[in-house]
Amino acid sequence: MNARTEEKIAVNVLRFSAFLAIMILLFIIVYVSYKGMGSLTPSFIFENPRDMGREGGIFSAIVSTLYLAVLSTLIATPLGVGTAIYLTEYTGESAVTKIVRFGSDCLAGVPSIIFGLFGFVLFVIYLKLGWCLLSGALTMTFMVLPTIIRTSEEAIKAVPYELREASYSLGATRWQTVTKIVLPEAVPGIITGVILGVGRSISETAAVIFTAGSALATPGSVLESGRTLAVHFYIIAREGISMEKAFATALVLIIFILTINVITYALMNRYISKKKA
Amino acid sequence: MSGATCDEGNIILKISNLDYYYGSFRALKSVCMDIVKNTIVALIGPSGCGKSTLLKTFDRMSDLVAGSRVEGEILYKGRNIFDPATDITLLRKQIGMVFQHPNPFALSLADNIKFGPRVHGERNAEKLDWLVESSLRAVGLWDHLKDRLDKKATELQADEQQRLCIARLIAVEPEVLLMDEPCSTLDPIATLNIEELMRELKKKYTIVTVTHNMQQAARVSDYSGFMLMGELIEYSKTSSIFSNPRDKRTDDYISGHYG
Repeated sequence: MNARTEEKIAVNVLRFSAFLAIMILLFIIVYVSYKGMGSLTPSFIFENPRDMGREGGIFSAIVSTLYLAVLSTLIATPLGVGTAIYLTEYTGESAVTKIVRFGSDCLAGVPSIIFGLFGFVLFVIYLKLGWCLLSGALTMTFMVLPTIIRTSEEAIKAVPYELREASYSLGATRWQTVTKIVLPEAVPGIITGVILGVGRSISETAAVIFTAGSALATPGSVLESGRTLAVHFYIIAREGISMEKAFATALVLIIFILTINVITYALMNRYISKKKA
Repeated sequence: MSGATCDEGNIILKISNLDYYYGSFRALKSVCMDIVKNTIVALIGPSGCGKSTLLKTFDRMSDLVAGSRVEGEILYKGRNIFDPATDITLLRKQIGMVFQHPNPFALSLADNIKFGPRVHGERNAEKLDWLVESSLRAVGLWDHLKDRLDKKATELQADEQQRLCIARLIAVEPEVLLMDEPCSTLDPIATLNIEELMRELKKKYTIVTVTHNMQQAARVSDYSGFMLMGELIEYSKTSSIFSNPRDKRTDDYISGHYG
């Protein structure tokens, strides 16, 4: 085989794999839309489920999902960004940094069901929180932390060293340098990590069933149990309660995640262009 | 070691037996030099001779290098800056640095200037505005840019950026300006402008500059120090070091035998 044919084959194989990735996404979206569109009516969104989800809508599940996603993001973001700042700005490349980073990477590889079990034992049983959205959100916090730490770390490291030098040489402290110079530059990268985390807590099932439970009613507070969209989908599909409602739920879930992505990327672009302007 | 050739009362920085190590590598070897107030000192020498390292010890920016260690002392107005009691943020307010590559923050011109005073606790809006004007005037940017103070600093031309960095430094009201090859990324005309500015600034500040451009050292400085492999080989009045170097190695470098 000569170099020219080799090149041709390589290009086509690469093109095919890139094409495949987008086709899988499109297939999923089209298939779920096709199956779910029929049941996706305004009343499906705004009514609570009746008869175990066979009838009615998914309003309570939407509320539970929002609670869980917002709460876990609110807890995980400061913890994750804080860890990233500590690792990049305060420790240098020491043994501590390596251990923390290794630990955080291992955490990322732990199966979600194990997080579920851990959250169940710690929050539901030991801390006596019971099955509730708070237990679920705290568990999800642990799950999304590694992602937020890693992406924030990369974003912070990408800020040019010269800017830190300039700040230090004017007599700024580390904290002043981090908050006034480094973080504003790193915000777009940090947000990427946070979105990935939000997506993960919206779509998680196993760990959430173990910790937040699967109550169908609209939760009044984070100390009540709630059933997120992903969990609702899992239960009504698995127990064969209603495939149509299950696909409609899945469609709402996908729209949720796509919307969050689109909005944050738009905000991010505005932030970046505003910084440049 | 070449000592001072000047009156003791006017010495603002007195460096004695300064050693600096990166790990086990001795980057500075028993450096001694006295720096006189309101003069321009140029440090010259081939790449890697330690001139930038020496400059960075003056405001302890050298501390930021992991695994570094310093021995000896630097007296700034009579007090050892390596004393554990030294307030490092105050030291860096008094002794500021301009870097090789202009490094303005991605903020507006005004916010760049206000950054330093703000981190040192200045909150008064009028005082801050006054500092913006006076600092920009001092570097000759005010007339040109006074209507565009909201403009992003990173959009200025390279020599304007470097001037802005000097203005940003002046705004914290320092006494010594350290300049690490401030013109190396500028074109010849911009370089002459910055040199002119340095001569102007000398009236109020003491300037220590690192340069690999010997013409620049000859044009702009009052004293010159020639460094080689971590040692300060010769340090004296610029006129005498260029016309009548005492050490053969200085002579060789100045006449272009190496470097």
